[in-house]
Amino acid sequence: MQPILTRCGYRCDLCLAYKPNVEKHPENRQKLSDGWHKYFGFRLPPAEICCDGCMSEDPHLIDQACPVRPCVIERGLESCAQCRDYGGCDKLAQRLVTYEGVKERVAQEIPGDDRECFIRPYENKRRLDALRNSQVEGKNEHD
Amino acid sequence: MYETEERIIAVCGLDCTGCPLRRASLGDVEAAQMLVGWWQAEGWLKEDEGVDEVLARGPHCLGCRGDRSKHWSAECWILQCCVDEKGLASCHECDVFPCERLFEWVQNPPPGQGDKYEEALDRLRSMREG
Repeated sequence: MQPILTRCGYRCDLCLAYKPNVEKHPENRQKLSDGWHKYFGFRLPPAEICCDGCMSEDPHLIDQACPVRPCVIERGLESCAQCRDYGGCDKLAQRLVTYEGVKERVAQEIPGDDRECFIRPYENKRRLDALRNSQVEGKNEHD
Repeated sequence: MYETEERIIAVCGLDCTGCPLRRASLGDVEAAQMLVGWWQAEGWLKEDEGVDEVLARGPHCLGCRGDRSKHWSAECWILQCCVDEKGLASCHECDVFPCERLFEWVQNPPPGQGDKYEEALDRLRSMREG
């Protein structure tokens, strides 16, 4: 599957809750319910864990309270990486994930498999930063 | 196992197939041309040197599983860890894949190369899943 980026820089294709992944591996629901609880501190019932991804039209989303998606759509952007208010945005801050942040919260060693399944899909800060850098490089080339 | 005539995947998951260093090693003139500007900027070629010298100095890299004296990054820690210390043919075969060091590598790529490194980890992951 090709990389699919959400508006806030998560990777749908890597996310266990992404609908095609749940259909292929129904056990993802329970696994992710436990993983999110362990690493992010919230508990969703397995039955609710299935998501169309926020780039779809009229999607079924798990995170219905997400403040980022409506904002990015309203501004007519593809993702936060294109936004002039990127640095210091309160909305994005509510959904910003770094491995270091998660590790500090759980205060224990994180096995590589767990990081791959439960954290990497959402490590959006580094991903958005890289996107912004590549935009700047692209811009300079055209100047 | 991870090398065919069409495609070659490095032990770290990077795709060597289109790499100019590899292609120039196989005598590809167009690929050698792509290296000239870079090599001149590094001072590895004089101003009046070009494609012929690039080709003549090859092979530059024959991949992770080839002759180590013909590897562009023979000192690569993944190559040493994976092949030399563990005797594996690819990082994804490892008991501790994906390890913290590998994540660090993916997340601190050389400037402008970010996508390729995350792609490499994606590729290793799909190889592991089979």
